[in-house]
Amino acid sequence: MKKAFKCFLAVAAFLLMIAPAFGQITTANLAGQIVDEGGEPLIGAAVVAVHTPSGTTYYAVTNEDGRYTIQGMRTGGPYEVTYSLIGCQTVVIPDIVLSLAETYQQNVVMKTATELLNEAIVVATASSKFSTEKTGAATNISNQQITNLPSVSRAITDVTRLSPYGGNGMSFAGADGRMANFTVDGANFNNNFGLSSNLPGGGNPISIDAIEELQVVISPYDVRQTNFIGGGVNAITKSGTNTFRGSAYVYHKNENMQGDAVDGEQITGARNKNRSTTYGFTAGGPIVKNKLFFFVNGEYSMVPSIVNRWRGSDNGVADPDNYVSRTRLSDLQRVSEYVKSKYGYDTGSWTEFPANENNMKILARLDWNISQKHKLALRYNYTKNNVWNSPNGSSMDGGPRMSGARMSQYSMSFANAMYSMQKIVSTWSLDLNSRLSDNVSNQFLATFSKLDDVRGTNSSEFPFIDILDDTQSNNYMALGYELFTWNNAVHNTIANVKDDITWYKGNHKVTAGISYEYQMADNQYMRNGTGYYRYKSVDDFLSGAIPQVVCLTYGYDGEQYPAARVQFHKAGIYAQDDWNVTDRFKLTYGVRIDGLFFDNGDLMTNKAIIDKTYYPRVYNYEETHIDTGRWPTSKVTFSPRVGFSWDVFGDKSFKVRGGTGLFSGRLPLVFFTNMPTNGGMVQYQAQIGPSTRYANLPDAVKSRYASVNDILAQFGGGLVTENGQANVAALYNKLVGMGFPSTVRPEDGTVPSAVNGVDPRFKMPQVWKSSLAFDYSFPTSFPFTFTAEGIFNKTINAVAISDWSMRDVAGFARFNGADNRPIYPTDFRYETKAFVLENTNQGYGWSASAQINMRPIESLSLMAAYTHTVNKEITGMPGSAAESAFTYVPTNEGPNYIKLHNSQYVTPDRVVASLTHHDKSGNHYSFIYEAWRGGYNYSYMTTNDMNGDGYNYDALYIPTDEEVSGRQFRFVSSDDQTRFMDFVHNDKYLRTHQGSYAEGYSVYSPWVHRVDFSYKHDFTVKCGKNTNTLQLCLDLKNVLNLFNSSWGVSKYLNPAIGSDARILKYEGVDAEGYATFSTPSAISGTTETFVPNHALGQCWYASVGIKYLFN
Amino acid sequence: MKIKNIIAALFAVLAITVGCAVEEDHYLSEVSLSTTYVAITMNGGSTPVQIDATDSWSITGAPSWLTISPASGSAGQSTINFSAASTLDGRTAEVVLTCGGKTQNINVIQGLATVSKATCAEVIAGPESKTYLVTGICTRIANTSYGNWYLDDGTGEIYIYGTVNAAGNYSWSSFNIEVGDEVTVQGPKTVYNGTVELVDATFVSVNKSLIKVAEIDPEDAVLPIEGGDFKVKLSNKGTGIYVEVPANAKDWLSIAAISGNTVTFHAAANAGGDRSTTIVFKTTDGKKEYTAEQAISQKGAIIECSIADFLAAAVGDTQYRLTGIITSVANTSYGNVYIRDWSGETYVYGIGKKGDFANLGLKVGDVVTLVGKRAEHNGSAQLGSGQYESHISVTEVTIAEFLAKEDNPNVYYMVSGTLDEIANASYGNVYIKDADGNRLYSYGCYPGWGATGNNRKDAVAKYGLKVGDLLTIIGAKGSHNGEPQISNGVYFSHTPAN
Repeated sequence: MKKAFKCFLAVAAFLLMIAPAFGQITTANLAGQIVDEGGEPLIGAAVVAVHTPSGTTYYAVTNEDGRYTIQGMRTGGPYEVTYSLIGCQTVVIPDIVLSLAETYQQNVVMKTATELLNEAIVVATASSKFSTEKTGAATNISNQQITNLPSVSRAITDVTRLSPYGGNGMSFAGADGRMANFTVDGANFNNNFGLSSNLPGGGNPISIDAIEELQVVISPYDVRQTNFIGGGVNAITKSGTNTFRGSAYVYHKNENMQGDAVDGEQITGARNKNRSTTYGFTAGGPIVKNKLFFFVNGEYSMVPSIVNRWRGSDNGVADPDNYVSRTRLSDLQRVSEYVKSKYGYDTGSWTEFPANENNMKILARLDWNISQKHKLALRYNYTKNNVWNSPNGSSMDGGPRMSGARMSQYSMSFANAMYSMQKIVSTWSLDLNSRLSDNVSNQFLATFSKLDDVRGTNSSEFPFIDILDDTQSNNYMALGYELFTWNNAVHNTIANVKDDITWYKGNHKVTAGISYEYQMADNQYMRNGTGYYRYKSVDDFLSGAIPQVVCLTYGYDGEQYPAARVQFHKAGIYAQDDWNVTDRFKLTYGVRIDGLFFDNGDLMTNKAIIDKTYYPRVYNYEETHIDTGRWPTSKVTFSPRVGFSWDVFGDKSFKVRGGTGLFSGRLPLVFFTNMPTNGGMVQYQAQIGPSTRYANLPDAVKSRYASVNDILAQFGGGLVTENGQANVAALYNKLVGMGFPSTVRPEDGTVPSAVNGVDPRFKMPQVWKSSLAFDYSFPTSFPFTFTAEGIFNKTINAVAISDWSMRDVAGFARFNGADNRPIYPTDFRYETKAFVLENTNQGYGWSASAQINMRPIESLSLMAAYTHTVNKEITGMPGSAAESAFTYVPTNEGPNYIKLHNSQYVTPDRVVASLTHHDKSGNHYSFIYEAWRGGYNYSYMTTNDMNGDGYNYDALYIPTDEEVSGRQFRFVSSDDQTRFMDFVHNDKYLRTHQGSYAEGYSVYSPWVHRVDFSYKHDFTVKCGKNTNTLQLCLDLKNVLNLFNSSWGVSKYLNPAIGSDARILKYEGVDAEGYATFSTPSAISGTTETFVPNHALGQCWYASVGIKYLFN
Repeated sequence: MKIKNIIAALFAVLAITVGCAVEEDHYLSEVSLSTTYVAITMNGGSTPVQIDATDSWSITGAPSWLTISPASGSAGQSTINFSAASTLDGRTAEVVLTCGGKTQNINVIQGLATVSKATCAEVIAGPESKTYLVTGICTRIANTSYGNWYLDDGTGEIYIYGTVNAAGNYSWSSFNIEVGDEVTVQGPKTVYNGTVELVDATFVSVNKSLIKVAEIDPEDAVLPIEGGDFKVKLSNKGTGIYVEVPANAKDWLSIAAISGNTVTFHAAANAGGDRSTTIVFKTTDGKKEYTAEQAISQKGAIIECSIADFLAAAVGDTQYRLTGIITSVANTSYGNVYIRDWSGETYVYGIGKKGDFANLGLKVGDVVTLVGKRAEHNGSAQLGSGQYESHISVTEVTIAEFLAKEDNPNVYYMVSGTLDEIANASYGNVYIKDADGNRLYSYGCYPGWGATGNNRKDAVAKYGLKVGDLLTIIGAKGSHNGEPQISNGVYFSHTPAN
């Protein structure tokens, strides 16, 4: 890799020697050159661009090369641009629409005024045909396109599928969706913690009615763009204009607006109640005309649901069919009244329970044209997604858990024992664009994002209490603050500040900037955070008998919010030059330098861990120690980038563009916090009960109490209280007074069941992207273009995890025969498991796409694109726990030796096409056709753990027919052999990969074709002097399925085979040391690999909406 | 020209990076062998293995039936012969070749080793990640989506964390496992938070029990000394219920009534020690017999006495409760110790189960209360089948540390110091001091634990204590007239001066 990097530097240096223009994140640019009829540049010409809807005005003067550039403009339009110079005819160009992050190129030829006193004004038309100056792969999606798209979920990811590289959630170009970057007005909207690849706020952090435009970037060579590996999505929100405009809308879907059968087979439960309704409004307008504008959006969606159906009984007899629990209503009442009177605690109702799922979104934006030089935008948004849940089923600590759930036929609980999962997004963005002089402009952008997933409850601070039935054989009742809810949260706070200054001189435009990012992510999880008691019976509880179990988890040193936390600071400095080498050739080159600095203050070394000695592969099996009290050392990354755009014939009909550069990205932060989570230095878990081992208790406790029962005896007489309150402090003080620890030192550390670490040399992911594209505009009278684009990615630093406690596989014995994988000896682990985050430089990928865009008539737009994607990686880090990220990748040599394989996120082939049509009667039609191969990616594996590494992800060896007949690959019977080999011969992947180990995630589900349709009709409503619009809309997803229940259904792995493609069972070695295999009964020559997926999500579904637009 | 160059450069870059070699399997560079899985025929003989080493090498770990010749060698190519005599049963061995600081595992097989079943105890004692085949009774079901349950075969209990079918899928309902059934599963062992588990065990078979104990009364199956009724309610899907009082319990347990599926037993009053038995209930489906078991025990009288009285008692089943200080430990894993009270000292042959002693954190100086029988071994008295009841943990501290402790009559310390002055020879009120001159008054130095009345007297004479001896006393921190003291100190040991 070093060699490759050197080569990159050489090429970059070479490119820098020969010879510029790029995107930005929240604004657009206008540039061009003004010449006279003879082609001579006109110096000092005035350029005035007016954003017609808001009157926002931008000025520029041409320089010595006749060039002008206006930075930091509002996207969209239309703009009216006026070009004037004494002695020349003034030129006015209306209807210029600017795209986000792009530079619109408008060149003008001005004629000398013939009549001196009568300056003629020429109205010209805007340039078409690739008027923007992009170099890398990027797709802009305008507000109009968003509005027209068929969408039922109203999610951003429904919009980004218009990018040839999209279509699979936030995964772009076959990369992990958790490593994509989503910004709104420059503010971070990522699921940075990364417990899933869903966006924050319940997957839908912003209303699509608030979005003005968005851009999907794959390889932008603008050094201002960073923080992603696969792709980025930059969105900007709508602004107010000089006209008061607004809308109010309602969308609805329910169980009758969806298909209920796949392949002619009815899906059970398809008609169960399942409805959701979304209400929303937008409003925008001037506060001061031409000066100050506002825009607001509010949206609320609700899914009526029932979380708990169980009710108590009158007679103590359960009736599970009717959701009647055996728990007596009288007992519930007795307990509720008792805790109310004794502790002042409200258990909540035992007959009415919280339920509905809802999502609320608010957005407000101000745009202030402070002066002609300074324009300021300020935006705030808040999203909260709330889902209710019953209390945890039966998990508990300190004793054997009961089999019956806390809300079930055996047991009942109270309304305040339920908890909600709240996903909250709160962001600010402040964007100041200034024109400091004719040649210098500046952008200052500050954003702040708080993205939290927290648990909520209606309970006040109170312990959680389980009460068993009289026979102590099962749960009977539970009350209190849900035992896993107190301080259970994932918090993520990001602050960003950046300042870019742009200076243009001649045909150069130089941008330099600095950026700073602070990021904090933490994972708080306290079992029994408010305390936990278990009583043997209702009478025991009411009489204050000694409880069976007492637990409390608390932070050391009085920390109220003990969390596994990571904080880092990222400082960036960058510069680039956009250089118009010739009128036809533009070059951009620049470099970005980022420093990453972790804050070690949140960590404490665990001496018991650091004392252990490991010999990891990444350190060439040299002695190494794991310090869980240190984050990786500070790192500086260089991201040089160069891009070009060449107008081959000078008439913009054929463009060649491309570039190469390094990009550094993010990593789900859970992989960092796993280290302190498993380091044992954050919180103490006091657990006293039948399963507590006296010997493991702190010495200070043992010196005072002779047995666990002695300790429990201290808890007779009811809950521990202070001033009558059974709060956390009371129980904490009691436990600490009994000798439980209140503080921790490195020497107090104990060895966890598995160590989680981060290699001190660890670097954030980095990839080297190169692309080349051709844009051709057909010589038709209407816009008709063709683009072919190729992107190549080489991994510089990717993320991997290995277990440092495993010995080198190279010295393991191996099977005889064709499948000669290593056999893990019983002592393959020489130490406590240690999953350490580290880097790999292995991995590469490429994408090729072809796209056409056509607008044969004004009201009809057509687009079609095909993309082929390849992405090879060592691990896609499946899961969020270190061990799952480490082991869920199939291998033949064990998880420390994963070979390069197809990324689990790849959709290898994808076609997307869209058609939109508007007519004069107020009808809008929009179709999207999407087809893809490989929505499900499988790996052929053995059914069991063949190599004995303890992980059941063993890649299958696919024998050749010769190996089978030559007994180099052996089955336990000829029937097993026949069935397996018949299956191999009938399966395309197996047939073409005989003689090798099956590659992970490389068996792709077959093509699926989907058509989505949206129809909207506008009714004109006269309202005084205003004309308002009433719009009715119908969005239909998977229309083909509406006509035939077999159409539009994706195929997945035949369930007879299983959920994983495990098709051979290792049956031990024979007397000659050869592995032998049997074939599961489901596998034979007639077994189909793929069958239609009988799931509700495969059927058509629809929503209807009403929107009222007033202006 | 420039443009051409740029495009050419871009393609060059692509070409360089595309050439990613496919990663090969990993082998040692120091040594290579023609096979690492050596097979020898059942009839015996020799199997040659070619070795190519870069350094001198040697092989270790061969069992007695396996001959490796040569077992060491130098760098270069040579042949190693693995030989064995003929065998009736298949056998395997794992040997290790060391070369240049690296190890190469070599597996040797002679005939097929049969997969043998393991007991729970063997699983618990065996290595992690190894796959075991276990048969036992399902005692409790914790999760029915993944199939998490407890398996007990009488030798111990393990947790089955996930049960899968032959295809590797969770399919709990298809296994039809209920509590009480005898189930056979096979899976790899892991230890999670101290629990021994088989993870995603493959279901092999279930032997459904037609009869189960549904309820018992009393619930803990322990009857009081005075005797009484014991009711067992069965759930029975077979024909008839057959039950018999085991021969070893016929003299105290009888069947009082059988009514429907409920069997009532009657236990007589117990004059002797604890007693127990296991009742077996049987039913049949006409072809095969199915059983359910229920253990029952009855408390016996426990005699609380001094160690001297215990030593004087006859060997038998009577239970004694003794309290004394652990004076020495003979075996930490079984907890074989000597305990002493004011009257005497006895050997205790094991406290509880193996490992209990360590788990309880017991050590010399702690005061333990045990229940057991008077037993004898080679003529020496001992407490047999000692059951732990409680203990007082005694912390060893210096005089200076002791002085810093809070007064607490329930917390005991072991303090040592030089005997400085005998204030009262009868009760042994003495002063001890340390090298730094800290002086501590011990109110009492009784001859041993548990002494009351006059038995507290005369330790000074009994042990021949003299000023200057190094004396160790166990007692609680107290104070008298504001002066710190050891309250009611008990003699532990002393080393005479010179």
